[in-house]
This record gives sequence, structure tokens and C-alpha cells, in this order.
Amino acid sequence: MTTPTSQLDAERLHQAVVGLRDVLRATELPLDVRGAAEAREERDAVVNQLDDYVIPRLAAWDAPLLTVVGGSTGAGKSTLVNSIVGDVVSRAGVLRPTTSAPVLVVNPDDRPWFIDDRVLPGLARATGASDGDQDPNSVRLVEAASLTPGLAILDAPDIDSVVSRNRDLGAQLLAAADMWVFVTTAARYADAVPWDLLATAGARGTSVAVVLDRIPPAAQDEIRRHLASMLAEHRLGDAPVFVVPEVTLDPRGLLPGDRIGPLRDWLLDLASDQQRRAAVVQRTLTGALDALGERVGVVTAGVGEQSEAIAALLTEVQEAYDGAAAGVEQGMSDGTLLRGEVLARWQEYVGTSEVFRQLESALARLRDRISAALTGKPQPARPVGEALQTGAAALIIANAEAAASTAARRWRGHPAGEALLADHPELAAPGGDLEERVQRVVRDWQSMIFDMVRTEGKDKRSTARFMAYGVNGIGVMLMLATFASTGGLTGAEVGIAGGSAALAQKVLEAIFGDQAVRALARRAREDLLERTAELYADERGRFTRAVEALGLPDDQGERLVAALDGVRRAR
Amino acid sequence: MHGMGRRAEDAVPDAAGIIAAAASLRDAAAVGADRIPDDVRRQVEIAADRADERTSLSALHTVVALAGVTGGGKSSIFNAFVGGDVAETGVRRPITSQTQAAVWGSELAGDLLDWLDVPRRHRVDPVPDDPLSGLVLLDLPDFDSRVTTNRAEADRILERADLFVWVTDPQKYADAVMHDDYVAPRAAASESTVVVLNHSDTVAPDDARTIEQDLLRLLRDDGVANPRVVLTSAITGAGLDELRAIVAEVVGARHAALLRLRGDLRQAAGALERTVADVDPVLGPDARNRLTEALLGAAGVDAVLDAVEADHRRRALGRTGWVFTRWFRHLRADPLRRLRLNRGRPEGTDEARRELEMLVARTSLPEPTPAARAAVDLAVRRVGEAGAEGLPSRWADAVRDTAMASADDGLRDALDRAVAAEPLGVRVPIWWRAAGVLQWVFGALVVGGIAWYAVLALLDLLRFDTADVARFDAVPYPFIMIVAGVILGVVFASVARAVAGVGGRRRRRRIRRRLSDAVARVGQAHVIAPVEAVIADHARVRELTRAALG
Repeated sequence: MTTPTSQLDAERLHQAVVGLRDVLRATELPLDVRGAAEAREERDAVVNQLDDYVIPRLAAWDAPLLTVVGGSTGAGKSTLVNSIVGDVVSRAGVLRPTTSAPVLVVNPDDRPWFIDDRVLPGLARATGASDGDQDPNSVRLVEAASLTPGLAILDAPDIDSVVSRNRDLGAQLLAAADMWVFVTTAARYADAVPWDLLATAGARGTSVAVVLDRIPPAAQDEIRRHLASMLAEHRLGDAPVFVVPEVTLDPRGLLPGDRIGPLRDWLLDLASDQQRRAAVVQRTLTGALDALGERVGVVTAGVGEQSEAIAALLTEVQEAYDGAAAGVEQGMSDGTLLRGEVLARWQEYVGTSEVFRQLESALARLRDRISAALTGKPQPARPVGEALQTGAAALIIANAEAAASTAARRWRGHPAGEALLADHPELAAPGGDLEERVQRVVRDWQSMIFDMVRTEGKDKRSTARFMAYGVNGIGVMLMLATFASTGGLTGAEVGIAGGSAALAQKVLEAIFGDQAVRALARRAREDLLERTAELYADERGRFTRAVEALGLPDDQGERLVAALDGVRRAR
Repeated sequence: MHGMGRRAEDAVPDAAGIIAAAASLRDAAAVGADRIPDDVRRQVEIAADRADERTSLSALHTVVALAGVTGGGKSSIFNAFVGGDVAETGVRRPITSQTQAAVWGSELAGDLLDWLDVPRRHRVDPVPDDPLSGLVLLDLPDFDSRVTTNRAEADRILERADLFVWVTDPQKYADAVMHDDYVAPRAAASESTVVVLNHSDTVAPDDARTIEQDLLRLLRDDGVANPRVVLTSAITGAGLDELRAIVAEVVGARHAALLRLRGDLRQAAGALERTVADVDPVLGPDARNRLTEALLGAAGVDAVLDAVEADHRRRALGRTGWVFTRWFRHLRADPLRRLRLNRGRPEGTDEARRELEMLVARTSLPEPTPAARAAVDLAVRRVGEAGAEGLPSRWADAVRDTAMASADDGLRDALDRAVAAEPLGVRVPIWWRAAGVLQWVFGALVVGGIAWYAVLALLDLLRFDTADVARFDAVPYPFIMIVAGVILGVVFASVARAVAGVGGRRRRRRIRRRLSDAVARVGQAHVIAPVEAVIADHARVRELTRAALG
């Protein structure tokens, strides 16, 4: 990137970064899947850095240089800041961690740059004397005439103490800096935690100055050499290193002037040298913008994981309910529905007694016809119909229950699904009024069958057979034929209870004709399967809604990529 | 969790108690098997293994590990204990990357050091009555520098040390690494925790006291019950005597190893305890009754009962019906025979044959309807839910799985057999016999009347001069016999039929009770028992864990 020469370029980049920030902030990562924690952390960290640093810096190129003094707890950051300023602005002490609310020291002329929420918008501004009560959600603004205009020094909380809020804030403030003044000590300079941060700074090209504080004079050279080699390893070889020996502090708790001199002078020179200052800002800003690709990539990957998890969860549900639909289809064609009660009722219906059952069914029909003629109404077909209805309803209910429990079980085996189920425990059982809805489906299906019989039998109404059985009787027979034949394609499939269905088929064929019966049976069958599929879609919807309630937009990934692309193009 | 408070007052453990607790925990993990998360099982295994290993090694020695932050001055303290420059010291960080051991006393600790896998050993010249006799002091690498192998070495040794001496300094005493990654996870072994605040000479004495208080607060926050902090300076020698006295006391008591092991076992037991619930779910009569009802439906018991009732009526008709219409019943099939239930098993005759018959007995009961099957599924699921109530999810899943797996063909077979094996009671009530005799009498009356007329007719035909037939008033006796026989027979038959109907219903109820018991037994064996076995496992894990917690 070059220094934004034209106002227009700067404005475009600013807009693009704001756009990326907004997209990132709106990015939802609600599911606890693999990589979600890192993605969330990275998202928050990037949003913070854009808000705290990149956006304000792009908006105001000539704002003062924000130097953050950061490092381990007990490294002497506050003492260092106080000594640079020449006054006690930040409390130093032996208790760790000492500083939990950051202190920002500025020249009175620079105050307008920092008093509003241009930088660090997440932190409140406190001014005046410290009341000792440190609120970690605010930054205390201190004016010091001893600082050159154009330089602001922030005393940050530590990055490695037991107080986690401090650690997070310390890291966030470092990300908001134009330049780090990284403070470490003789005992600390090889610690793992600060080096993780320094490695990141090195990789991103952040401007860093290192202060080796509290060094026993005898060990000065050895430690300095060792530190320099470590810095070089982390691409920070050009970072200036200042050594501040362990000395007795003056009565105000400040370092003697000659000890702090080199660092102080270097900082003040930097602030007053327009060109060097711009170079420092440039380097850090470029690094931050360059790193966006990789960091947003982490978030995008997290978003991908979320979408995949959701797709996986929905597939599990789909499979469970597909299985249920297949179960119903099989139950309808393998004759199970015709056993048991249906068979018994059917026998009662066509044959009534053991003696007559031995005789030809023709005799039964004859008798039925006579009784129909005498009583003026057909033989009650209702018990058979009811038995069939109960059977079909039970089949649909049992499969719905199995599907709900299967889907819930599969979800339980999935980290994201487990959390969802904990929020929606009712998913494991079928929807509340399932039984009623199934009954309604079966009833609707039956009336549709009766309608079909009525329409088809318009011309045959007057035939003796039709009259004998009536619409209801024929409808029931059609149901029997439906459950016994596989879609009417292979004709009467004689199963265990096939005899009864075959008889029904024979009667139907006699009334409607061969072809028409098959077509009717197929239509009846398909209609029931369709109604069942609708019902199962409703059931499945409970799961889908639970997923949708997460409010995860589908296009998060694309929006992130597009926003990132916008930033890239604007540079 | 349980009993956190009582630990401080606990008596000193003995090796046998530690070994028993380890065995108990190992058993608990084995019983729990895959219903306990892998990491908890691993933790239990590690703690139990270490307990066994350490108790088999020297009980006379106490392994004290000097662990801490880089630059904290571990090696300086080590050297001060040894009384010579055994460990390398310096200003470059980190310095120590290999563990150095020093052994006090005349006893050799070779096995112990081999187990610790510390090749760099220093023998301190034995002094008579040395209070440190039996001490194995280890100078560990740091755990917070960027040299990650140091951390790995420190972690390895810390797993096996008996007493931890955490070394820190005024700069680093509040570091997250030490508190969050080291002290807090080992807080259960708090009897084994001493913290040394070294370099205390670098701050003013008042500041040092303030820091000490703050450090004690942090340690309590970490969960260390009775933290001990010693302020030292390896340079001035301050505090080293106090530290030496503390170490000497621990070494002299010779129970630091056991305390450490107990701490670890307790921590593992605590983790294990969190994977089980405090109480076991109970399968109430509600779930059981519902299951029995559903199984009765699935076993086709209603069909059986219908047959039983019909059979009763049919046989009653055979015995008590009007003699002239009894033959009619043969037109109808024997309802029990149709279901292949009435096989006339001779009771208590040949035990072996009955067994064989039971094995092959398959009834021809109708297949359960989808509704009945769904009811069984639902009932079994309810048993699973009742059995999973209040259990942690892994146990709850295991219970539900077990319940659902039980509704298989085996259950259906067992139901069929239970129904087939139940004697349906074909004994003949006494009143049937009496009524039978009566019916024969009525029949005989009719036959007698007809015969009388027949004789009269024959005599008449043969032109015998027949005396007038005997009369009651104007009605001839044979006519009275016939009419009375018919009326009495028919009326009595219908009364008997009504009584038999009542008897049939009573028999139905009795058989239903018996079948219901038989089906309940099947449910108990095939559904309830496996589920209760899982619940029993759960209880066993908790008991074993509590036993280990002591």
C-alpha cells in the first residue's frame, strides 16, 4: 500500500473496511462445532482491531501516534510510563496485576483526538484524578505537557496474569497500537506468552520497540545478545531494544532521568519527525490490512463449518423421516395391515359364521344381497373400515415416533445437535397432537376413497353388486386391495391374508373392470403416501425450525469474501 | 461435590488404603465402560496405575519437585539445599532443560529414580541424623518459557513427584500459566503444595508481606485448601532454613507420597463422580403396568381369551345342553385348537417331553397388528425414558438403547411361548356333570314318552285290545312325559347356557390374570431386567467411586 495520496482513495478504503467490519460483526457462529471457538475469537479480535485501530487511522491519517506500552505483569510498564512522562500518571506497585484500567497519556493539544470514541470506541473515557477504583471498561485520559504533541502513550494491562479480563484487554490494546513498546525483564524475556504476541507482531510487520527492564547491570550484555537473537528469529531484528537496568527508584517512584533518557528521547524524536512517524504508522497499518486476508479466512472457515454442521443435521433429519416414509410404504404393501383385527372383521363382514365361511363366497354374497334387499341398507362395512383405519394410523404414528427418536439420537451424537436438543428437548418425541393429525389424514384419505368410488361408480350405481355393497362397502374393499397390492402393478398379491384381499379384488374387478381397479388402487395408495409425506414434512419441520431459529444466514461466507475483496480492491 | 470440606481433617492414608481405592476406581471405570467419557477413564487409569507403581517403590523416600517459572531461581534453591553448585545457574533464560536429582541419606533410591527417569543424579554425602534423610530433590526445567520441551519435561516429572514446591518471584507470582495450568489442576493434592516466593529481597520487606498475602489469596482461589508460602532469597539465604524445615518435616513423616496419590485418586474419583447421578432412576409400577398391557395386546391375549370363553361355552353346551342338539357343536371348530393352544398337555407326567413340547410350541395366534406393535414400541420407549430419568446423557442413552433393543424377535418369541405354556384349565365343573345327568333324565323322559306311544301304536296295529292309556286328568302320561321332557330340557339348557356364560367370563378373567402374570414375567426378563442392569451398573460405579473417595 502507498500512502493514500488522494482523498478519494483513502475514503474508498475507509468505506471498504467499515463494510468488512459490519459484515464481520453481523457474522453469527452459534453452533459449538469444531473450530467455532477460534472463529469467534478471531472474529471479535478482528472487529476490535478494525474499530480500535484500522478505521480511526484510515479516517484520520494525521492523528497522533498511539504508542501502547504492553507486556507481562510485573515488568514495570507503569513505572516506565510514569518515568517517560515525568509524573505519576499510572499507579505502580508490587501487587500483580497492578494496572487493570488502561491509562492514556496525551499532550493537552492532542486531547480532542482522544476524548471522543474515535479510537477504542468500546471503552469509556475517564478524566481527572484516579479514584483508585479501576474500571477495566474505561480508559483514563491524562494530559501531560511534557509529551510532544503527536504522541500518545497508553499504559496497558498485562497480557499474562491470572486476571483473564486483563489479558484480553492487554491483547486488544496492543492490536490498537500504531507502535508497541514491549516491556520485558531479565526473568521474563524468555516467557512463552509474550513471545506468542511478539511472533504475531513480527509476522504482521507491526512496529515494535522492546524495553528490557529491570536488568541486573552485570547480566546486561548477555541478556541483550540473547534477546536480539530471539528477536531476529521472529522477524523483529530491526526493532530497537532499550535496556533499563534495575535501579533504585526516586521518591516519586520514577526511574532516574539518565536511565529512561534514551527511550524517552527516541519516542519524542519519533513524534516530532513527520516522516518517520508516517513510516511507523504505515508499517503497522499495512501489516494489519495484510493480515486481514488470513484472519478473515479463519472466520470464513468457521462459517463454513457452521453451514456444514447445519447441513449434516438437516440430512440426519431428512434421512430419519425418509426412513419413516419407506417404513409406511413397506407396511402398506407387505400385507401386515391386513392381518389381525382387519382379517377378523373382514371375515365377519363377508362370512359372519364358521359354517358359511366353508361355503363359496358366492353364497355369502347372495345372502348379503338378500339381507341388503330386505333391510334396504348394505351390510355394515364399518368395522372393517375402522380396523383398517386404526391399523394405518398406527403404522404412520409408529414410524413418526421412530423417526423423531432416531433423528434426536443422531443429533445427540453431534456437538452442535446436542446443544440444539438441550434447547429443544421436545424434539425427541413427535409433535404434540400427532395422533389426532394422523387420524385426520387417514379419515381424509378414506373420504377421498369414497369420493373416488362414487365418481367411478356413477354408471354402475344401478348394478346389483354395487347396490349390494354400497359405496362404503366398495370403498373398504378398495382399501383392502390398496394394502394388498404393490401399487396395483402386480395385481393381487396373495400374502398371508391375501385371500381376503383377493376376494375384495374379485368383487371390485367384477364391478369396475380389471384395469380400472388397478388404477384406483394405485391412486388410493399414492394419495395416502402423499398425505403421509406431508404429515412427515410437518414433523420434520419441527427440527428444521429449531435450526432456523438459530438465525444463521446462508450467505455469511460469501458476504465475508465479498467484503474482504472490497478491501483488497480499495487498496 | 461431596465431602470437599472433610479432607483437611482426614487421617494420614496407608498404602493398603491407597491400593484399595485405586482398585475400586479401576473397577468403577470397568463397570462404567463406554458410558464414562474416555478422558475420565484415562484419568482414572493414570491415577490408579501411578498409585500402584509408586506404592511398590521405596516408601522411605520422598520425591520433592522444585518447579516453577523461568528465572524464579529453582536451581539456586536446589544448590542451596545440596550445598554446592550442582545445578547450573545464570542469567540467560531458560537455563535448566534437564531434570537434576539429588538424594539424601544412606538408602539408595535407584528404582525410584529409574521410575522417575532422571538420569542426572547427585548423592549428597550422608550425615548421621540428617533431617533430610530420605529426600529426593528434583530441579525441574521451567514451565513457562518458549522452549516447549522444557514444559513437557516438567509436566512429565510433576506427574510422579510426591510434593510440589512451586517457585515464583515478586514479578511473576500472579502469572496465569502457574495458577491456571499448574497449581489449580493439582489443587486436590493440596497437602502436597508449597509455594516459594523467591527473590523476596528485591522488594521492600513490607511489600514482600503484601505480596505474600496476595499470593495466598490467589492460591485459595486456585482451590488450595491450606496454602503454604515461604519467602526466600537464594542470594541472602533468607527463608531457606524455613523451607528446609518444611521439607524435612514432610520427608520425616514419610507420607507425602501417599497424600499425593490420595489427592490424585480423589481428583479422578471426583471426575468419575461427575459422570454419574446422585440417585438411580426407579422403574415405577406405572411403566411396568403400561408395558404389561402393551405386551398383552401384542401377544394377542384378547384372541386367546375370546377362544377360552368360547371354548368354555362350547364345552358347557356339550355337557349341559339339551341332549338332542348337542351334536350341533361339532359343526364349529374348537376355538382353542384353532389357535393351537389346547394340546391337552398331560400335567406333571413326563418332564422331558413337556420341555420339548414347550420348546417347539408355537401358537397360531394372529400376528400383532401394527397398532399393537406400536403400543409395544411406545411402552418400551416409556420404560427407557423412565429408566433414563435424571441420568447424565451417556447413561441415559445406554438405558434408552437397552430398552429399545429389547423389543425384538426374542421378545415376541418369548411372549408366544409364555402364552402357549400357560395351562388354560380344561377341568370340568361338578355342576356340569349334575346338569348332564339331569339332561339325560329329561331326554329319557322324552324318549320314554315316545316309546310308550310307540308301544301303544304297535299294540294297536297288531289289534291287541289295548287298555286305555294312563291319564292325569284327561292328559295321557306319555304326552306329559314328552312335553315335560322337552320343556324342562330346553329351559334347563338355556339356564345352563346363561350360567355357563357367567362361568366363561369368570374363567376369562382368571386366565387373563394368569396370562397377564406370565406376560409381566416376560416383560420383566426381556425389557425391565436389562434396563435395570444398566441402572445397577450406574449405581455400582457411584458406590465404587464413593468407596474410593472414602
